[in-house]
Amino acid sequence: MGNLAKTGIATGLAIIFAVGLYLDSSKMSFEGYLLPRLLSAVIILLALGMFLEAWRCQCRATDSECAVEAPIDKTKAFVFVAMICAYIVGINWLGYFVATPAFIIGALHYLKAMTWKGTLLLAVGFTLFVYLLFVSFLHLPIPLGPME
Amino acid sequence: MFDANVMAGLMNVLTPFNLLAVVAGTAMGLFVGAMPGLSATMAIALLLPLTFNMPPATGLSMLASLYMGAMYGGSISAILIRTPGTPAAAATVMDGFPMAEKGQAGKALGVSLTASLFGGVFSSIVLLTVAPALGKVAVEFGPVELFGVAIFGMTIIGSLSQGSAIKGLLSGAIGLMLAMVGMGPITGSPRFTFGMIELYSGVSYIVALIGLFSIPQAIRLVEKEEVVGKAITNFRDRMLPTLSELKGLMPTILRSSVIGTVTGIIPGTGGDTACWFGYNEAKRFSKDKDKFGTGIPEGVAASEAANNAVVGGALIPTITLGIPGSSATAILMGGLMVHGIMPGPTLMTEHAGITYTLIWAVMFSNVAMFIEGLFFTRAAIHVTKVKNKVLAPIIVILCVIGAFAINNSMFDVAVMFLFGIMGYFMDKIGMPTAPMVVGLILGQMLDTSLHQSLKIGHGSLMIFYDNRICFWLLVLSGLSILQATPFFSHCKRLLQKNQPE
Repeated sequence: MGNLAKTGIATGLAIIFAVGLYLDSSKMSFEGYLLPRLLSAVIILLALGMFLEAWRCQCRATDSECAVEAPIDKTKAFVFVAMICAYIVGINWLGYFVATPAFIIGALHYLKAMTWKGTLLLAVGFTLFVYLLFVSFLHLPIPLGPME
Repeated sequence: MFDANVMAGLMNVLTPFNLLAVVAGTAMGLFVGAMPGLSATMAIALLLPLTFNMPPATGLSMLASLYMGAMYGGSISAILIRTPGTPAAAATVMDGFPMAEKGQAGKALGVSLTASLFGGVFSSIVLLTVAPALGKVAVEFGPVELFGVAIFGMTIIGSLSQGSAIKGLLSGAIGLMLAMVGMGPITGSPRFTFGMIELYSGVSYIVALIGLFSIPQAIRLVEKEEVVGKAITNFRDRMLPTLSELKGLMPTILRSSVIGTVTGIIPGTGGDTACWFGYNEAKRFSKDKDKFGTGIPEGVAASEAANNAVVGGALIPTITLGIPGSSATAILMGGLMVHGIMPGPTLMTEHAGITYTLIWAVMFSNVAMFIEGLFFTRAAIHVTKVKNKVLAPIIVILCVIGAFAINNSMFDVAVMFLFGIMGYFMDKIGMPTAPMVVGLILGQMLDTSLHQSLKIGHGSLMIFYDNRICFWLLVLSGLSILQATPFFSHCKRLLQKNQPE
C-alpha cells in the first residue's frame, strides 16, 4: 500500500474519531464540552493537513520524505500479532503458568529463533523469573487464571 | 529553603536502598542499551510497573539511572557491531566502528565511557543549578500561566518531533482528546466513557505508554530480517584514555556537553538529535575535518558526551514545568504520576524531597555508569549477540504482565494492546508516538487550567492576552507551529535568495 493510501486511511480514521467524540459531547455542559470540541476541530484540520502533505509529497517523487521503506515480512508480523491476541485471551482463561510458556514456545518456534532445547529452557526459565520478580520480590499481581 | 532541600536530596540518595536502585538501574540500562533491538524509552516503559511498590524516590532514581546507563550502553553495539544500541548512539558508529576495525575497540569504548561521564556530570550540574532557579519562578504560576505552559509544551513537542510537524501535532491533539475520557475535572460527570465503568477513571497513560513504546518495537523486531554484519567480538587494548589524550579531547567533550544539555532542554528533541549535532559541530571546529569518519576518538567523544548530556537537560523542563524534554522523560513523568505526584511547578516545593533525590540520582548514576562500564563492558558484548526474534516475545510478556500489575485488570491489558497496535500503525505513516503520551499527561491540566482561567477572566478570552507570561508562551507556540509550515520554508528560501553572494 502506498504512502498516500495509508495516510488517507489514517486521515479518515482521525476524522471519524474527532466527529464521533464531537457528537457525543452534545449531552455535556459547557465546561464538559468546550475543550473536547476545540480539540475535535484541531484534529480534523490537522488530519486534512496531513493528507495534503502526503499528496504534495506524492507529487514530488524526488522528495526525501517519500523514500521507499525497507522490505518487511507482513505475514510474520500478522501471525505474531495474532499470537499476542491469543496470549492475552489465553492468559485470562488458562492463567499465567500455561499461557506464558505456550506463547514463548509458539512464538520462538514460529520465528525459528532458537533450537527446541533452548526454546524449552527459555520458556520455563523466563516464566519462573517473571513470577518470582513480580509476585515474590515486588508483590505485584499477575493473572494466574484458574490458580487464583 | 532550597539549599536545605538540596542537602536533603543528597542524604536521601545516599541511603543504601536508593544507591542500590541507582546501581541496578544503571546496570540494566547498560545491558539494555547494548542490545540493538531495545531502546532506552522502551526499557523505561517496561521497568515502570516494577517500581510501583517502591518508594517514589527509589523508583524514579532507578528509572533515571536506567536512562543514563542506556545512553552509554548504546555505544557498545555501535562501536563493536556497527549497529547503534539506541538511536542516540547513531553518530557514534561513524568513528567508533572504524576505530574498532583498527584494533582500538577498547580505546573507543573507553573514550565513549569517559565522554559519557563528563557529558552526564555537566548536565547534572546544570540540572542541579538551573532547575531550582526555574522552579522558583514556576511556582508562582497560576492557572492562566499553566494554560500557556501546557499549550507551549504540546505545540513545541509536536512541531519539533522528527519527521512531519503536522503529524507530531496531530498525535499530540489525539493524546489530549484521549485524556478527556473519564470524569471531567470541573463538572465531575463522565465524558466519552460509552457506559464502560473501567473508563470512568480515564485512559491510563502508563498503560498507554507501555503499549505505544513496546508493542510496536516487538512487532518491528519480528517483521524485519536481521542482518548480521561484520562484528568485533572482543577487545584486548586499554580502555581508558591517557591524561594527555583526555586533555586533547576536553574541548570536544565540553562543547558537546553544552550542545547536549541545551538540546535536552528543548522539548521534543532528544539524544538522537544531540548526537548528530555534537558530532557535526566537532567536525566543524576541527582542524582535521577529513579525519572524521575514519576512526578518531574526537568523533566518538563528540557524540557520546552530547547524548549523555541530554539526560540532565531533558529533566529541566520536565521537573520545573511538567513538559518532558524527550520521550524517555515523558515516561519518567508517568512514573511520577503513578506515585500520585503531579509534574509541574509544585515538584520543587511540595515534593522537593523526591525531586532533589531524583536530581542527585542522575548525578550519581554517572559515577555508577563509569565504574560499571569499566567492569561490565566486556560482559555487555555478549548481549549484543542476542537475536531480535528472541527479544520480541519477551517484550510482549513484560508488557502484558506490567499492564496487568497496574490495576490488577485485564481491561488494562486490552487497552495496552490497542495502544500498541495504534502505535505500530502510527509508526508506519511516520507519526511520532511521544506527543500522544505527552497529550495524555497534559490533557487534564489543560482542561482544568482553561476553565479556571475563564472563570478568573469572567468568561473573556482576553485573560490570556492580559497575562504577559501566558501571552508570550502562546506567541512562542504560534511561532513553533509556524516554523513547521511550508510558509516558513518559503520565507527562508526567499531570504536566502535575496542575500548578496
